[in-house]
Amino acid sequence: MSKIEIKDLSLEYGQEDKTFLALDHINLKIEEGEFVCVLGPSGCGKSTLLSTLSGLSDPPKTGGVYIDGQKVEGPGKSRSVVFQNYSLLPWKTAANNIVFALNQVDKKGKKEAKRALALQYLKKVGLEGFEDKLPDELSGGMKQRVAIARALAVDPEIILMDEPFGAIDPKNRLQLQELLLKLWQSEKKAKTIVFITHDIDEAVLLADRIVFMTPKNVKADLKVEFPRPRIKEDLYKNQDFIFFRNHLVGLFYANIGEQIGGEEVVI
Amino acid sequence: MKKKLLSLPNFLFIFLIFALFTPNVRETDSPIVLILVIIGIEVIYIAYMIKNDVFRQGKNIVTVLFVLFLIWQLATSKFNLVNQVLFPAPENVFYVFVTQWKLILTGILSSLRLLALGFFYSLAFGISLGLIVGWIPVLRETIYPIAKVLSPIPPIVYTPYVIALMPTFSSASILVIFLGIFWPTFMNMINGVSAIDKNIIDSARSMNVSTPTMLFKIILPYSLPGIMDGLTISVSFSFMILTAAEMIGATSGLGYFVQKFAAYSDYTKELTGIIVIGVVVAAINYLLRVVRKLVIKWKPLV
Repeated sequence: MSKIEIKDLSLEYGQEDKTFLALDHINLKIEEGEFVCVLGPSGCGKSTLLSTLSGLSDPPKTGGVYIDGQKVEGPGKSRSVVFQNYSLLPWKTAANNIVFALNQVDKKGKKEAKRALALQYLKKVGLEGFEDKLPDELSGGMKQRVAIARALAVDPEIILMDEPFGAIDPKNRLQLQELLLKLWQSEKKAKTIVFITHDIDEAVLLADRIVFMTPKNVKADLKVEFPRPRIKEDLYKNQDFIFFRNHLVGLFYANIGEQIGGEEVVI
Repeated sequence: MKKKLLSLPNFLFIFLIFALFTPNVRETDSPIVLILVIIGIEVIYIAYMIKNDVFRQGKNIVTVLFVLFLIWQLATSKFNLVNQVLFPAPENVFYVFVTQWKLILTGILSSLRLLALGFFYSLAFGISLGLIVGWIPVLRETIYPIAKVLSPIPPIVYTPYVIALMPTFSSASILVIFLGIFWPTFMNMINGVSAIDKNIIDSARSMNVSTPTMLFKIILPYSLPGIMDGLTISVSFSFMILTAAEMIGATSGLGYFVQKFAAYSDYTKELTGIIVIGVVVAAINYLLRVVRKLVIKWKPLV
């Protein structure tokens, strides 16, 4: 049985008379411990797909998402989410944001133990000494580090990431990508990660598998065979990488061509 | 430092004190309280001046205050240019603090007690009901339009009815203040809940929080700065309602104090009452600002 199974999933937005079909009969399987990047242009429904996985979306029109064979009806302890926009509670310090998340999973545990765990995860993401800072006092990259620490600290089986590095400058982004890979590989039992992005290089650097989406549907499902650890500079010199990357760029442009012929034009 | 000391307020201060020790045309009470008040202002001004390099604002405020005192004093006690009954001398107005201190003090305490109780109930109900109604769509759809009709009714119009309705004046005042503060708090809270940052809500929902946690640990703290800002306006507003109510039916309180002496055309004491009310409202507002600074140290993320 696959860890995540998306069966015949369709989702509609809007009220009764004015609806917009965001996802159209999608089928997809994701295995345990797999790092999957969902790649696609803006407005293709990739973030909507993630919200059905996290349980934050409206109920689907057809089909559904199954985790370990159980249909997803709402958010759950087995999944944690890292959003693009800062989702930390601005009145809580870095450590307390993590403690708050821990409290939601474990109502009983001791306060000191939770704080110790929070500090341990902050250290893992390189934020030792920043535990008592408010989010407002942290840079964008640091805030996302806290968000990653928070997502990991609750020890979920699946981590859902919705363009988490989209608003980060390139230098910091590379550092965060490397950090994420390091953390993912250092876990005893690898967590399943679904990572939404529109950045081709990011997808190739991170993923075991790239799911390419066109509006409303999955267009291609590609394995990424490059050995780990992947170093960005080395990848750029690799002929296979250049070929693979061009193929993905081609998918992006093919998609635009189709849209100009169709009803929607997205540039 | 020398230049600072030679500023306009200090000259005005010396002039005021000098004027107070020279003979008057109009006969007045002892100027002692007025002198103490003026010295008090001067001391605060000098302390402020020593602490801050930039004090233009403080300087201007004190200048205006002293000029007003001076005009008041010259027009009344010094040259007796205006009607004695309608324009009492500042010496007399401030001397009321000596003769009526007991009534003023009990008035302040009684008014503050009613204000605090009315405030407590309206905030407790306004915030918690506003959170719940704002969060549950069915309740919001039903109650919000009704509340929109009821909330703009000025609470003062209820006053005579409420005083007749309630067994004691205290309970009536508390109810009137409640009506005055509850509606804006309730409406603000409903609006606040629907306007809350979607990122925060999604993030909390993805952590699978319970409804009480969502309401009281996410939405309430998020709305707290807005609530605190609203309080400053509400305090002045409820004090207005309270003193109005006290002028109708109370046997103590600051509104009663003002009303009682107005009935005997004792405008000296009435002016004292007005000054006290002004100072009390300003002090409460100042206190609220201090509390806000202490409680809320965070800024929303952009």
